[in-house]
Amino acid sequence: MSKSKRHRRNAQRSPNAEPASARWTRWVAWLLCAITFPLLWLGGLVTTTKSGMAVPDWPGTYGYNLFLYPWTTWLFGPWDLFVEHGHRLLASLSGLVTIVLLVMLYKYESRPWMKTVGVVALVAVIAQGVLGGLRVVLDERLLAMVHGSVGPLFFVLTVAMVVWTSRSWLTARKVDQQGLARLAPLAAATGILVYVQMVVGAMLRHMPVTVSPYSFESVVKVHLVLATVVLMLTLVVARMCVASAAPTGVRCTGWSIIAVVLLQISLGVATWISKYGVPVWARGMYSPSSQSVLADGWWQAHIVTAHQAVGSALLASLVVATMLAWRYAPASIVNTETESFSKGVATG
Amino acid sequence: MLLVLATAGCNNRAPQFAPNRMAMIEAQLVDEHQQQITQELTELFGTPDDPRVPEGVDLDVELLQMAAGQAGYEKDEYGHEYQQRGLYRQHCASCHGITGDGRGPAAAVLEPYPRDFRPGVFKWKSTRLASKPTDDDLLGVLQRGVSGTAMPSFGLLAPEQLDALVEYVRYLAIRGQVERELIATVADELDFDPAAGTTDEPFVPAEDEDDQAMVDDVVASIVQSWQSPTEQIVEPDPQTMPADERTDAQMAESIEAGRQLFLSPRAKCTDCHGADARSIVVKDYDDWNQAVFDFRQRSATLAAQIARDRENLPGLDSSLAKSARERLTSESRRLKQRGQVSEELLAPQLARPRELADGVFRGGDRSIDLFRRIHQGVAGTPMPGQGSPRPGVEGALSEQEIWQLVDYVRSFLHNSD
Repeated sequence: MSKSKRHRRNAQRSPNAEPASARWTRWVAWLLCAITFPLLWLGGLVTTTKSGMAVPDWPGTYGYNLFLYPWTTWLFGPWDLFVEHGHRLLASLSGLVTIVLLVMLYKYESRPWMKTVGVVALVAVIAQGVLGGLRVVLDERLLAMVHGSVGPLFFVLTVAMVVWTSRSWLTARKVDQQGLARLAPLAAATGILVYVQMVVGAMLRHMPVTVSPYSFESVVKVHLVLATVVLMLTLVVARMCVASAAPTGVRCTGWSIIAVVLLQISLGVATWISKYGVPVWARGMYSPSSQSVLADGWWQAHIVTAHQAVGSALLASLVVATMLAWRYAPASIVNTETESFSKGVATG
Repeated sequence: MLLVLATAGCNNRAPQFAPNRMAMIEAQLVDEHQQQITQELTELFGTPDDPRVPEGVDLDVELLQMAAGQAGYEKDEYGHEYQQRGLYRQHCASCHGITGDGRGPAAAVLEPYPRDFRPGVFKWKSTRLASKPTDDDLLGVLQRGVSGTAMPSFGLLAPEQLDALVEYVRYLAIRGQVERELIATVADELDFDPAAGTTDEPFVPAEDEDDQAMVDDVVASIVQSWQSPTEQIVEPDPQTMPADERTDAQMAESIEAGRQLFLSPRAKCTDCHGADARSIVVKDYDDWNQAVFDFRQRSATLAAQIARDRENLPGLDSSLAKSARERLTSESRRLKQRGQVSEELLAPQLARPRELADGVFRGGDRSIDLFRRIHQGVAGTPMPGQGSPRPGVEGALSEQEIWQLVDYVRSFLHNSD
């Protein structure tokens, strides 16, 4: 860029322009979040395709260092090996980006608690990796379920870090609307319920084959009842978001909650049909098919996996709604000066 | 919720084959014999992690090893090559259960229930009603799936993996049949007192030649029933088979003739499938559910008997009262055992005749599949055969008429996707 152009851009920049360090930190937070969501998807695919033990050793892959495993064998070998090794590689990338983010937070971030959040993220990603490794080494289904349940929590943390580093969070002003104060706890409670629902879903997916049919049936019923409650609560939360006087971000979050929860319910129905067929009582509603579902086929694998991954997206949407509602609510105290970056707003 | 979590999460012991408690209780076997039969089965067939094949049984151990155990890969005996294990647990056990008893975790939410392999009865096969399926029949079900049910197609598995699963299904069926026969034989041949729950004639094949001979006979009879099923394939008479190329008029004529047969009292199709081939009549159980229904009925009868005996007890003089009380104690113990077994069983489901007008046929929709199904019926279900039950015996319908029924039934194929 020429000197004159840079001069013109600097001249156009408002006195409150954001420093480059803040932008970079946010972009890295976004990158971490963008890596973690497909990581969840791939982790779900490991469970769906029952590839968890496709690589029986850890932290290596068939005796190789994780990063030195022959890429041709990975890409062109068995499908379950491709999925499991790919999950490990992406998880490693997620860990590396978390380290980069932590370094940036320590270097540029002035809010001490954000540095703590960065440390928590690093500890979380390491713990999650070790959980995944132990699941393989011990061949323990319970650990697989715990690993699958911790994943969404880490994803939510990455989403929260994106929000905390966002420009709208840093420059937020309170909105004079009491509804926002009620929205935050309701969205939080709904988020907790969604997470409980996800754990119940993880139980269904990781159910040991020795469990009695009636235990499985009970868990299915809990999952269905919770789905109904979650649907109603999320629609209430979404309506409050959409109707609020807060900035666009809150209203957009409301619309995204509606879209995600409707998608999730549809995926739930599709998951059941792709796994167990159309229930007898619903068979009149569907055109009968002379073709059986293809086990572990593309549609079955991705519908079931999407149902798990979209659950995390719903949870993340509710966390965003909670955070923004709390941020904009009249009771919240916003002090952008104390939360601005240490390098100074104007000096970029 | 915590209870459910505990059930789902902490039940991680090495799985074992579940004993056929319903058959044992029905035979009124004493506990000692029950345990000895279970022990003998482990001697003969090993465990879900380490299957064995009894002498004389035609099963491939290497294929069984691929299907048995935990899903995943493990090093071979030299510690070098990784070999695939646990295909059955990976693909089948969540519905059919570790023992192949059709009571896997997902079974209770499915209709129809997953197949219980232990009686050795299979619906979708090319052989005569009472015969075992061929390997190709079992392979066909795995490749095709059973449309209209939760049984998917495993068409993406490699041929060797499918072979391993076919072999393991045969293994579970043979094991289940041997278990049932041993239970019946021990109940017939050995002395025991069901009222007292004791025996002075234990079942110990390793130490007793007669017991060992009993086991050998049982295994041999089951092995024989599985030998050469290909010789039992129902082959239609080439003279009556419809031509490959038929005109529309010929086809329409055959379909109309089939429709008339379908509606006729001779074929009795409408009794279950309805005159429009859709308004089905659900009234009977298949053999698997009938067994559970009967077990529960007998438990209810026993409970009523106990209640009557209790009512009559105060009116009895002291000498009769003593024996009546002993009988009551024994019956109450039996009822308790039956109750425990009942809790493990799935509530019986009535068999749903096919809604043929949907054009969805579970055992395959080729003409030859439907011909064999109408000819022999569907094993283990109320669907009777219309053709010759065995060579030299005339059936209710001629083969030509069965082909006309096939044409009529297949005319609904366009109703499905």
